[in-house]
Amino acid sequence: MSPTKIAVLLALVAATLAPAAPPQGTPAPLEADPVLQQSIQRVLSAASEAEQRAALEALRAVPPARLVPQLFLFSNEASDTRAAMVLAFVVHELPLTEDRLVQALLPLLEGADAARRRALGGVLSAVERRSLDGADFQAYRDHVEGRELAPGLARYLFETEPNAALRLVARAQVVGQDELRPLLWAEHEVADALWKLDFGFVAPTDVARLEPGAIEELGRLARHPRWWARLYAAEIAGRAPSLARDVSLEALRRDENALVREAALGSR
Amino acid sequence: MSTPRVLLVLALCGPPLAAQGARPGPGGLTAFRPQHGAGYAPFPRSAVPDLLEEDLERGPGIRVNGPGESDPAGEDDLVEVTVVRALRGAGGPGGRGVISLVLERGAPELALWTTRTKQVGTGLAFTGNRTAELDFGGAETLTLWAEWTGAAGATPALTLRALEGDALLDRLRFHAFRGLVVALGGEGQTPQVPVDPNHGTFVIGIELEQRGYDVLMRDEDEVDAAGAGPVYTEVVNAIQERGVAEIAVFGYSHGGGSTHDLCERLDAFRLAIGTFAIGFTSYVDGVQNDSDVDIDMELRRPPSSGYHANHYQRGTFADFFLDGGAVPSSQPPPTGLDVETIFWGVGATHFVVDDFDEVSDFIHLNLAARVAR
Repeated sequence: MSPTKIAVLLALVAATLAPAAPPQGTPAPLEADPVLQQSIQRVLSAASEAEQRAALEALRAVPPARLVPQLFLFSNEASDTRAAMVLAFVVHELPLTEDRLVQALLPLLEGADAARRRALGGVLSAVERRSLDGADFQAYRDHVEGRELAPGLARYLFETEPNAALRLVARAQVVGQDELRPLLWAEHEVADALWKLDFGFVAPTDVARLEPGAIEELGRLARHPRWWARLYAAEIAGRAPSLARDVSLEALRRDENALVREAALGSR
Repeated sequence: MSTPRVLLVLALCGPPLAAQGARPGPGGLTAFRPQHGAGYAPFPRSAVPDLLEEDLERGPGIRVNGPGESDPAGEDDLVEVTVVRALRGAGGPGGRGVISLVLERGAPELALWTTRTKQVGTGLAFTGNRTAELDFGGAETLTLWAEWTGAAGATPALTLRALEGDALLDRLRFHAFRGLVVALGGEGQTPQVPVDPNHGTFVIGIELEQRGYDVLMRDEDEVDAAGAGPVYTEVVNAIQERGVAEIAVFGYSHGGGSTHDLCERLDAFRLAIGTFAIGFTSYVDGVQNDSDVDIDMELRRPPSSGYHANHYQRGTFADFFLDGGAVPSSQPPPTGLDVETIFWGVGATHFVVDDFDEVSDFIHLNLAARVAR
């Protein structure tokens, strides 16, 4: 069969599948779709560049919200580099924008176990600008602002990079400056102390003497009425115990919010 | 001939006699390669060959078990040692009595336990660096766990002696690791037992372990885009708690990108970490690993690497156009080797470049010359 015919056939298959795509915002089921998996496999097994292009064109017709999770599954379950890199190849060749990736993958964080969160994080890292200085979570702002913070997303953000998470969530969810400014200041104080610890400018044994402000602010966040501020405190307490002298882990372990309790117990 | 002399002769002649199908040779010591977490995976459990038992490089290696150290993967610094009781003495019922065996250590920092996690009450007592008579409990083999709390780089010995005649039956010579090798595979490659022969990075990792190195073989995704994660934690722990001072890191595809990211973080935070050198690094068709969908060539040299090897090919549709590229100040000079420019690599794809013997040999030779065990 010629590549053109294959492309037409695959496009028809994809078009047939398209109406079944879940509406925006609905958690996508993370189960393999055999037809779509086969379509992805055709990219992998193409015998010529033309055949590969045709297989890609067929995938282009599939809505990203449906395609991306299937690509993720395909690559995540691969046991060799060739199959594992299909996701990257298709994302670049179609191309799929960062927005599309985020929209398609964030729903999969809800209810995801630690292994799946790590795997999703490996892809989402593409939009997070991670560096030695931290991360930038602005790509998620639309998914945090003006709505209730989804627990799966919150868990992912705060366990991945708590400082970037607190900055994002505070700016997106807090409207009044009177509440926002102390939150940003607290994050700045703690982040600054963490930076000094990471780079060896302050030893853990000297934190109490040299960083009383950070210790005080972290303690304040641990008692904050916003549950995500307490989640931040629980995360930092686990990573830098020397900063957590004013944090009552016992209280956080009994917190009304399940994510805070989970982080304080270190039970992920 | 007196019994001790017979034993001594047997000790010296053990392997040839065993090879001829004679009765079991004299009781002996066997050391195993290092543990990883609660067992040996992703390495096979493997004994150090008899001929290498006293080799200071390829023989048994042992990690320093630092005071108060909490191993990230759980207590795994002790080395498994088995003692085989094959010798028979003249005494006992029917003349099948057993020879009394003791162990002698070369330094007091070498401890022996009967449990791998050092449970209370399971340490062997020493008097003047010698144990009491070993209690086999009726078995033919005794399994012990050796712990070294002395300095990195030391070479403590453990000797098996028969009490009768004080005959030396066997000896192990440990080398306390000063170096640590990190091997990072490509996307979709997970280190496993048995090793997949197409996972060239892990094949090299296992070979290095068999040659006496302490090797950390990991999924490259255990290094995030900022260099952080479980691998970084392990390396920092090795430097701070186990006296490790020389590091080698190599990786394939995204593992090359992670090699860069790990070295970048280690270098940036070295003031807080301690003293170490990155003596050897290598990319094989390195691809940046800012995420699983990153396909950019890794063209940045790993920061502070003392020697960087670089092998790459040029991508086509067959390998999704994935490839590494020229990296400044790399070996072979000046920017590494495009393997497609040499006869053995013509037509190579991204998915086979890590499996060439020539690439593997280059890594072996140059790593061994620059990083201590």
